[in-house]
Amino acid sequence: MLSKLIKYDFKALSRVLLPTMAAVAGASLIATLSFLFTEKSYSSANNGGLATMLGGLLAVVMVLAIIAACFLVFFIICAHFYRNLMTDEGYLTFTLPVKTSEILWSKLITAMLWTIISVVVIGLCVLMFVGLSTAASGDGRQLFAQISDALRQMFALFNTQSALIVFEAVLCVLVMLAFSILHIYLALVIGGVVSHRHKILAGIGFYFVISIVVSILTAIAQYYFGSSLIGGINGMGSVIFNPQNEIEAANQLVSAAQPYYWFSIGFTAALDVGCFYLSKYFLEKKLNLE
Amino acid sequence: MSATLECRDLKKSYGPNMALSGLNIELPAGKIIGLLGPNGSGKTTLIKLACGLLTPTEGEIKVCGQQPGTESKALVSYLPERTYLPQWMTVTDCMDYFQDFYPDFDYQRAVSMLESLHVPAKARMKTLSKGTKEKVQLVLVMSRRAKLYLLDEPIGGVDPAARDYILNTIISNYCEDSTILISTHLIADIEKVLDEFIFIQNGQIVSYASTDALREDKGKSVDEYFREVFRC
Repeated sequence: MLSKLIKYDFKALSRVLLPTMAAVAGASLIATLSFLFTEKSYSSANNGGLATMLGGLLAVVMVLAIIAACFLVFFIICAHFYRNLMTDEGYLTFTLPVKTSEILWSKLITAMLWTIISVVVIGLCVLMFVGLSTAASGDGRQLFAQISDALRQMFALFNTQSALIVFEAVLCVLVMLAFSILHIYLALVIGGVVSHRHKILAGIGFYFVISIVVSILTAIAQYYFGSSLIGGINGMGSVIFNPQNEIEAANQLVSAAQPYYWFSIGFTAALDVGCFYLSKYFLEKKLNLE
Repeated sequence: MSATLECRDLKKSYGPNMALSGLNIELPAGKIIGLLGPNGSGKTTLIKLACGLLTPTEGEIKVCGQQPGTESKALVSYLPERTYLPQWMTVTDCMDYFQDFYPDFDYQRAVSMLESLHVPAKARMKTLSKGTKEKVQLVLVMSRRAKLYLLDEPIGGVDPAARDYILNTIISNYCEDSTILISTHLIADIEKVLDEFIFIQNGQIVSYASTDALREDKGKSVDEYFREVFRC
């Protein structure tokens, strides 16, 4: 049943987010081509100042469009969760022969997938704009050469240690992304349970309340466990950074940071679990759809 | 054989307000039963508890011997008094949705009923009138081969001409081993299809009897008896 829930949640989000991403990609392409065209036209007419100004203006417009798209993605994910569970649609969702945990998993997985898709699309758009708009100049070619050189070096050094770093980084991003989504979900659920007339407003209020609770928990965790973890990193002062042993220094740095890194991942994962089960509890035991 | 719906000392309170106070009832299979009572008597709360939208404060409620949960939800076909289908879906999307989640959904029956009611299958829910949305919902709910149908105000929003079709649909589409519980204020319209009726007030059963027995014993229709019992 989870796969069916994911199918319909993904369909509901894609209906709005797919055109949004297509619009972002289209706007980026138009902005990039316009930039290249204006720069070429005005540069050839010896009017470099105007070209720079227009280019800057297009860059600003594109940045604003990307920020708007980010907000739209965030808003649509929250609105879908709220509409599907806390409004009349909830009568359908909660009478399906599925577990509440499956409903939450479906909402979480689709939200994470669409966030990742949006980040990739927006990242590629930015890369296209920066890359193509600077490609004509020597700076652009130099930039690309440096990036490809860095990537080549990175892959050359790729070993078990670097695989671990990549794995940790991916895991860290995933648990933090899950927390940021579950945090919003929990706030919306509690807001919907507590208030019958101003559910969204209550949800926003509870978002900040949960943030404060999480900050207190983080401070307590750092107070009790932080000092022992930082000890290892302090020891890094003895490592001499020079081109000859930079790999060794990097390895030592990574090794020293391991406990802190895993503690952060574990702590965030615990927050994920907490938010998930609290949301499940409130949806199962306390929610009364009006 | 266990009752289709069974309540034992069922209580539900919303803060200090008691919606159901120690309700006991057993509904048999193969009956169309009217759940009738004045506003705020606990009808919708009982239905929500039976389909797992609410949890009891005390006591227990069982559907075919099972407490509300994933298994019981597969046996219950619920029609709320709200329009609960996603507005972005087309009527066909809604049928696909029901077919995906309910193994007992009869797709062909739904198509046939929608055609009889002249509901356009390609139309999006948001473009339909309130009455047509209610027809779509009722068709979807009655196209399931469920054990218990819970219909909360099924004919409240449709025109009188469509009411007869809907009531015929209800009678002709349920199996003999199923139970239909209908909550409504339009008693005169539905009483011809009722086998039994339940009067509920202040969260307690006031009367539970067969409509034939009422006519024979008291010589009254359910509507007349309702007005007598709940006279203001």
